[in-house]
This record gives sequence, structure tokens and C-alpha cells, in this order.
Amino acid sequence: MIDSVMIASIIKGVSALFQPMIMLTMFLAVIVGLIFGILPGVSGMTFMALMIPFTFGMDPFLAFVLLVSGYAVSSTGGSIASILINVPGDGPSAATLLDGFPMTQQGKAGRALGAMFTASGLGGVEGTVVLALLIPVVIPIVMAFGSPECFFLIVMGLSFIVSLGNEAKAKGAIAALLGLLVAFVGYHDATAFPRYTFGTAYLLDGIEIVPCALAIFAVPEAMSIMISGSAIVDQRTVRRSASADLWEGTKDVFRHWGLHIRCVVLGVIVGIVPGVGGHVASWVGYGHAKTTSKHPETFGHGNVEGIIGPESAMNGKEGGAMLPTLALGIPGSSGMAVLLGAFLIQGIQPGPTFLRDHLDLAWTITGTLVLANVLGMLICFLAAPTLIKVTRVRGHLLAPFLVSLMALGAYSSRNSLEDVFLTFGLAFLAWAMRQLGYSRPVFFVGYVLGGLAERYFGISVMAHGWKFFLTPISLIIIAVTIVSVSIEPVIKYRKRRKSS
Amino acid sequence: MKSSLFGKYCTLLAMVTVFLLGANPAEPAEDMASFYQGKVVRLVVASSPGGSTDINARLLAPALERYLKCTVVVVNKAGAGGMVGTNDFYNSSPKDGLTLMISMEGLPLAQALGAAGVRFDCRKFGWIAGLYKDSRSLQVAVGSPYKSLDDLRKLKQPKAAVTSVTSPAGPQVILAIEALNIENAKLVKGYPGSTEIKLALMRLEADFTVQSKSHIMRKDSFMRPLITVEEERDPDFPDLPALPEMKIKPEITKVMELIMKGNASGRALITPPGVSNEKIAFLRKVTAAVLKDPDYVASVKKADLFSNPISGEKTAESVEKALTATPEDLEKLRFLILKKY
Repeated sequence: MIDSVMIASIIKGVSALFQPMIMLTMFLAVIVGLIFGILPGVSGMTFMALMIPFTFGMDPFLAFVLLVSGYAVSSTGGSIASILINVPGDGPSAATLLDGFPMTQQGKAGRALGAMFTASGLGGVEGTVVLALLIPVVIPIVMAFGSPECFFLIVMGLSFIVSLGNEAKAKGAIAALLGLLVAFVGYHDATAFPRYTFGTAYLLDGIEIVPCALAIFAVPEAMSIMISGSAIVDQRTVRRSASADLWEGTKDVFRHWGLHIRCVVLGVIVGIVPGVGGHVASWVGYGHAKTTSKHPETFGHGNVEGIIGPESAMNGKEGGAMLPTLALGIPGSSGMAVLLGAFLIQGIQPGPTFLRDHLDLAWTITGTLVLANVLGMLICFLAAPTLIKVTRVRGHLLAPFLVSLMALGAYSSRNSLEDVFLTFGLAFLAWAMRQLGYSRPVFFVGYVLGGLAERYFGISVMAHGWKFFLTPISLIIIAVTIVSVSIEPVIKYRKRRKSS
Repeated sequence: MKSSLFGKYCTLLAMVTVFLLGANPAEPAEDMASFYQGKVVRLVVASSPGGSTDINARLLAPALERYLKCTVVVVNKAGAGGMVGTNDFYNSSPKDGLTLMISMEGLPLAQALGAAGVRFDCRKFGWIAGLYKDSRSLQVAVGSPYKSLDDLRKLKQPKAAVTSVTSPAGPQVILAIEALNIENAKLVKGYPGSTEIKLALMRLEADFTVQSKSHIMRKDSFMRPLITVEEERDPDFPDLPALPEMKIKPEITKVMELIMKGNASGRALITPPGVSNEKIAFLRKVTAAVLKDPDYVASVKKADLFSNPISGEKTAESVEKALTATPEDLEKLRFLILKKY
């Protein structure tokens, strides 16, 4: 029920956003956040970690507008690099490049970016609206997702592997198993036993996601560009007006409005569950888009639904992840853990009393998420025509720049030179996979979700025994997974029967 | 002739004096102060941004900047529970005193246990100051049916949530189970961090854990402490009994001592091996002043963190003690922590 206290706090919280100093801060933070997103290796989380020292002694409203604005738009920035140059700014953005980059190669970068900006920006806004609506019921929702439920949510993401590969099933299985193998490098969570580390301390913590994403997707592409010497876009494609293309992409989101909303909801659910994270959100979004598409065979070759799905889920997730952070003091993602640290430095304790004592600040943060996403979307639309030009730069000029950017990204994720060597080492594996027709997305999903699945499987069995799957939510997720995986084969089977 | 001999002696004496002054590594405090002035000091944190060690580093950095008149840059080098950053700091940092680190807790214990990945000798670090030593307690969820240790003992198979047995809190979970006779207890291992452990307890996926008092000091605490798993009562929780107040088997008392000694250094400001004693002495003096600085103390308090500084000398002593256990005692400790559960 909305009472007078709630209305007063909404007015105070939202009106704070329209002070000149706060608006200027938001504008600058959005620009810097977008740049952080575009650069591989640094992310919204890095942005917040670097900005925290500047927030000492700052008014809490201004401090959180600064941190949240930059963080909110960073994933949009990450996807720009994914689409234009096949360099994922961070792990979750990797799902966007599967169809985004092929669209760029076909000269449809504007359309891909338009769809991405709109799906991502609106996803962020809608995720925040859901956040605001769910605040009163957050505790039961968070409590409902234990380790078994997390495990099955991750399995749902993994099950989409089936829909990712277009090659022979045996090759798909080998790619997925290779991904799992890479995921198991490092300490085993439960026993702290080191696996596949070859006695080195460097591999104890496993293979980091940024070097792996760069190696699997970006480096082989840069190598191709280097070898061919041609630009990313086929020069024979017709040059179209960037603004018309961007508008076309925007309209694509409205053409697939149902998919967009479903993926935002999926993203919010994944975001609320602490420990599952953005990787699951973007791949679940991609998998859902493909399994429900009328043209699944065009995925991986430049289907705009392959951009709308992951982008809606990924930015929708942020609203969800903010929820347990504000209401319980329990961060829903690694970025939120940094934000929690910023709260503590300000002397503010997130949790149930936060919503009682600082409801106005909660509304400022909610409003910031909305405004920053809208502002980020507008800035991206304005900058896109210039950014797209990079796709027509000749290969021998672009490739050295890309390789340097990748090396920088690999280094800056952990300040580790070993990560740079690892990136280029793993890139040979990715190159071989590409040449031999093994699916790299399947490998990547196996790698990203395999470790998480193993962790929650182990905890579930230890805590609940082998009947761990017999919880209502687990059974629902299992049913949804089975249905989504079997839709495509069932439809194909029916079509075959009809035609015969 | 005499005067010429005298002159030669004088020249020789002057040369020796100049040589000794040049070769003597002793640098007066004012030279040390000017050495740091305007330089960039890297403050390494072996964990990701956002954790308590990271926040502490970000609060310490501006205070150190004021006192050393230099720029302090916080560098996160996370991985393997702090092992990656610590190994790198130990083996690859320049020895010029411009690279410092806030150590993770329990490094001497990890070394004593022979934990996988340890590529350092804690005795060779330069221990500048102990910043804070976390106090841990056995905790259950506020909404759980457990109000006392007996409630846990009555369970058929009480479940303890833990990240891993070699994490900073891991050995203390096992110590609590052994010392408090919680029979048939089972460890549920693999939680990524204290956040997930807290949620697991709230959902009754696990029954208890041992974790930092920071989880029970916050206003919205969802955790209830039952006993302090330390050698002494915590001043913030004077009514909560400490482990030695219970009836503990003598062999467990020895294990307890080893674990406590291994964790005694807490989170400390350290230099890599090879930094000159004079620089370490200077940094100890400056850091001692920084840790008493009213602005720094206020910022730590505001962030809900603890500050119980220990001098560098005492921290180095506790590290030395932690690593002087007999091989038999160490074997017992390794069995209990690494094999039994």
C-alpha cells in the first residue's frame, strides 16, 4: 500500500535527480561508464572500484548517482565492441556477438546496434520497474532459491547448448566437453584440491573469463582480418544511412516485443538469485530467443533476435541484482558487491532498515537506473554513426589496433601478464576449432556455466542428498527446460510427418 | 715527512669515511621521508574490489598519502583466496619499498598446513603493522530454530556451511565442531563466499557456520552468535563465551593454539622480502601514526570496519611463533583440517 511516507520519499528521491550538479554528474558518469564498457577487460565493476575513492565525503545522493549511472550503462558499452569488432567487453557480452558481428559483416551494423541499444536500454528501465514493484516481496523470492534451484537454473542455461551448435552433434558434444574441461581448471570449490594446474600457482584460480572470451571469439577474428587484409564489412555491401539503419534496429525490438519482455523477466529472475550472475542471464536470453524463433537456422548468421534476447536479459538483470543488495544487504552480483562496499564507506547499511531509513535514497538509485539507461541509449544513438565507421577501416590498419586492445583487455582484467599469454595460447585452440567446424559458442557456454553447475550440484548433494531436485521450484525449472529444449525437435518432427 | 704521513692518513680516513657513508645502508628518517615524497606507492590487495580488505585499503590509501606525501594506488590482484596475489607480491615485487600489500588473514596457517599454491615464506615478509584481526564466532540464522549449542548437538546430522577447509574461516569451523563435540557434523563445502553462506543458513540449507563478527555487528544482522571461536572473549560481545571456557579435550587444545597462532597476524600491511630494515622501520613508524589518525579512524568506523592495530614487531613475532610447531603437531593439524572432513 502506498502511504504518505512512501509518496514523500518518492518525491524527495526522484526530485534529487533533477539538481544541476547531480544531472551533470550522471551525464559524465554515463559517458565514462560507456567507455569502460567498450574497453575489454575493464567493466562497470572496475568503474565503481575506481570511483569509490572520489565518493569519500561526497553527499550520498551524488555518490550513488555517480556509481550507479556508470555501472548501469557499462554492459551496453560492452556490447558495442562485441557487435562492431567482435571483441566482447566482458563475459556476458559474448552472447551478443554471435549474431551481432555477422550482421556487422553483412553491412548491417547500424541495425544491430539500434536493436542492441533499444533492447538493452529498455531492458534496464523495465528491469528497474520490476525492481520497484518487487521490493515488498523480495525476501520470500530470494529465500525460495536455494542451491538446488540455482543448479537447475544454470542447467537451463547449459541446456541451450543443444540449440547453439549448427554442426554435427558429435562435434557439438566435443566442444561442450572441452569447455567443461577448461572450466574445471583450478581449485575445486569444495575440496580446495587443485586440478589441471600443472603445479603452477597461476592456474590455481582457474582461467579468467575475459582472457577466455577474447581468445575464443576476438583473436581468431582479428587473425582473419590480419590475413585477409580486408575491412570487417564486405566492401561490396551497399552503404546505407546509419540513422535509417539504427531506426530499423529499434523497430526490430518492437517487432519482437514478446521476446524482449520474456527475456527481461528471465533476466530479472536470474538477477534476484545471488550467485548466478550475468553470464547465465545473457545465455539463457540467447537460448530462449533461438528456441522460440521461427527461424532458428539463421541464428549465428545475423538474426536480430539473437541480439534482442541476450541484451534484454542482461540489462534486465541489473534491476534484479540491485534488489537483494538494497533490501537484504546481500549482493546479487560482483558489481553489486562493490556497490555494497560503497554503501558501507558512506556509513549506510543496506538491508531491511535501509528501506525504512533511506527510502528516498532507494528511489534515487532506482530513478538513476532508469535515467542513466535512457541517457546511455541516447548517447549511443548519437555516437553510433561515427563508431560504425571503424568497420570499414582496412584490415591491415585495424588488426594491429585490435590485437593491442585485446592484449590490454586481457592484462587489465587481473593486472596479469600471464593472462595475455594465456589469451594468445587459447586463441590457437579457438582458431583450430573455427577451421575444423567445432562450435566456439558451445565451448564458451560449457566453460562459463560448467564451473557454476559443478559448484551448486556439489552443494545441493551435500546439503540435501540425492533427492535434492524434489523441490517445487526445481521441478518447475526442470519442466521449463525440457519443454524449451524439445520444442524445436517436436516441431521439426511434426513438419516431417506432415510433408510425408 | 711527518706532515705528509699525517696528510696521507687524513686522506685515507676521509676516503674510508666517504666509502663507509656511501656503503652504509642506514638512511636517516628525513632521507626516508624525502624518498617517498612525490613517489607512487602500489598498495596490493589480493582480493577483488568490494570486500572488507579492499575497502580497508581504499580507506588507508588517502591516509598514507597524507603522511608519506606520495600517491598511493590500490591494485587488486585476486585469485585462489589471495594466494595468486600473495605469491606474485612475494616473488615479483620490486624491493624498493614502493610496493606494499595488505595481507590476507591466515597466511602463516596456510604455510604451516602446506596448502596448495603457497609459494612464499611468511617469515621473509616485512611486517609493517597488523591492521585488524577478525574475531569469529559460531553463528546460526536468526530465523532458525537453534537457540543454543545443545539445539545443534541434538540434530541427527548438523550441517556446517563453509567455503573450503583451507579458507580463512575453514579451520575454525572444524575446530568448533571438534572442540564443542558437535557429533556427526557434516561440512557442506563449496560456497563461494560469506554472502552465500549467510543465505544458506537463512534458508536452513545448512545449520551453522563460523564467520566474522562483522556479520553480527550490523544493524540488520540475520545471524545469531552462539559462541566466540577464539582464545578470548570479544570485547564487543562480552557475554559470549570463548572456546577455552568449554570443556575441551587436551589434543584439541593444542590444535586450537596452532590455529590461533596461524591467524594471529590478521590482515597486516607488509613489504616483499628484501626491503631494507631502515625502510621497514620508517614505514612502521609512519603507519603507526596513520592508524591513530582521527580522520582514518573515523572513516573506518563509518564504514563499519574494525581497527585493532598491532605493531609490526609484534606481528612478526606472532608469525614466527606460528611457524615453529613440532612436526607431530603439524601432522595432527593437517589430518584434522585436510583429511578428516
